[in-house]
Amino acid sequence: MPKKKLDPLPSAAFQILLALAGEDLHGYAIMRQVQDQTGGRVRLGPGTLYSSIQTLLEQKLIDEVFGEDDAAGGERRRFYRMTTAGRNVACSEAERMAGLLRVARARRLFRGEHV
Amino acid sequence: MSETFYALLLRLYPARFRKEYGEEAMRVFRERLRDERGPMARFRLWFDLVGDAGLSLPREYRRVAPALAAVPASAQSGIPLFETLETELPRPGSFFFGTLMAFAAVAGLVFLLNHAGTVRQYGVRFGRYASSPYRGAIAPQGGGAGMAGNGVSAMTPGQPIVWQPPPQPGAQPLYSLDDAERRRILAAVAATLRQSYRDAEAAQRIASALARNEDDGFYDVVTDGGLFGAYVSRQMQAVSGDRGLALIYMEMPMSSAPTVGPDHWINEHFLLRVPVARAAPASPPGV
Repeated sequence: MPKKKLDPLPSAAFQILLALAGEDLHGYAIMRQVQDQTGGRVRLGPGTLYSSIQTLLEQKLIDEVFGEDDAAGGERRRFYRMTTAGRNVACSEAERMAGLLRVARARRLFRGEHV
Repeated sequence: MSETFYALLLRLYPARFRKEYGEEAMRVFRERLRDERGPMARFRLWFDLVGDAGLSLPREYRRVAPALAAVPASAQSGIPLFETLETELPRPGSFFFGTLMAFAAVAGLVFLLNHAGTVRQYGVRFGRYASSPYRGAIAPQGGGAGMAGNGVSAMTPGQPIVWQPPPQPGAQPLYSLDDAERRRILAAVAATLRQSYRDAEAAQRIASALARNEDDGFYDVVTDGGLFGAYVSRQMQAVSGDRGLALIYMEMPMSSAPTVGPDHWINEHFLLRVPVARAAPASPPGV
């Protein structure tokens, strides 16, 4: 059960959980993934990235694993993996946002191709 | 060069964060530096990093250390508990900056002590004549005594005193200096010093310095008696090196001209304190 510290889930933490939904990633790869999944609108700096990672680790929403980075010639570095609790929290947040989206659609806030 | 700058930026983070993620953050920075080339990309990189530091630094400093967070739960057993928050020795630079900060704090305190409340410092010295918890509410009755503006009685011991209500806030000052009055006071001070000060040469130097300051308009804006007394006292002390010299202001006017020990009457609001030379010890017989 996640503690109150991540309720509501901060945007950076949610983006990191989304980035880790597909595969285990190291810090820089998370940063790149977040940039890609937001169309370049969100660029996490190292301070925010590792601060959020630390919070997610403390709340047991992600785990730290050591692995080799193929892109860096097999260099050993820290990877992060989403836990089951992390997945549940990310799902809850996504559902909350989907609910908001439904309300926005019902109120006809969207126009054109987004509808 | 860029790495050095970022390393300095990282040093702003708490030691706990640097120890845990410092290397990773530096690696991420190197990778961004490698991938983001060109002036615009570099500008955006530094913009991101500085903005990121501005947002994440307060958060990291607010974050409670795990050892601290564990204290309340452990302390419930009633057993005294000691936790070590930092297991590493401080760096030599920390000692250096700590020492520097301590010196700066002490210097600042000394500066404030020397520059705040200059008018009152004479009140403390004057207190040996008579001290009272009713500072500022003592007033002489009849002749032969005066009251310092800082609230300390200038009476000799044993003289009767009566209580009067303190001045109402916002009331007009009882005494205000003008140019002519300042000149009269300075002339009287100079004359008294020449006549009574033990070092005639120093007395002449003080008189010249005060006259020069008056001619230069140094006192032009000073209409408050206490402030004027403090200025003149400081200048006399600076010229002579004698911290016993003081021009003492008394808000309540004196109705006569007492000369009590080292204090000489200048006018109804000012006394000039001129330290008296100590008598030389008597020589033993036969010497």
